[in-house]
Amino acid sequence: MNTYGVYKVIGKREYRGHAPGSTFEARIDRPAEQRAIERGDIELVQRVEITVPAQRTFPQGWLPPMLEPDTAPTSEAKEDRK
Amino acid sequence: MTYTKLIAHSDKITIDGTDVSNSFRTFGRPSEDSREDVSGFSATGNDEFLPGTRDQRFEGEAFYTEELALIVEPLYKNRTTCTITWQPNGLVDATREIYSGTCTISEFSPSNTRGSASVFPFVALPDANGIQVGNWT
Repeated sequence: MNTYGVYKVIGKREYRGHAPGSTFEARIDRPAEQRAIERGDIELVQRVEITVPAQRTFPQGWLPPMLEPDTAPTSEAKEDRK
Repeated sequence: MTYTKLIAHSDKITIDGTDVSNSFRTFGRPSEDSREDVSGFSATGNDEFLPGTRDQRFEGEAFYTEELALIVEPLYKNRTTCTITWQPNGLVDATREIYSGTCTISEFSPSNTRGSASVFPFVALPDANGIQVGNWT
């Protein structure tokens, strides 16, 4: 599942190694998360869904110039070189 | 070579993610292998044994508190599996080895004796994977 949670330790005791009052990101299975919330150990601050944008491009200047989309050789250019 | 011996004061124990170290005064992982007698009749009369099943558990003695009961009682009542860890001296030394297992709490027997500290035995049994030890340094 591509989600994780941002949690705050609201109880008096350390939770999963995180001190009371601290905030942490983790992927905790839902039943364990629910139990910890019901006990008052943590609160869910935010649930984050990891998504990948539909259109993906490399950042400008990231690729070598000859492989940049607008400078890559076309098939005609390759013919000319012969 | 000298060994790093110490008096146990700072073990770290977690149940279902929550630090419960201060609720326990003893904690450990008993682990015993049975010894199966597979001796047959022979001219020598020698006995023969094979190692049998391995019986592991977390076992300890806890002080009865409302805070601990809030954590343990629902897990015990519903036979919920949860992660239990024990790290000897772990409260002051995070590099120490960690014993951990996915366990079901099988004994939670709070009781009181007049004039004495409220303590009770605690036992948790691991799933088929047993209790693993990691983080050796």
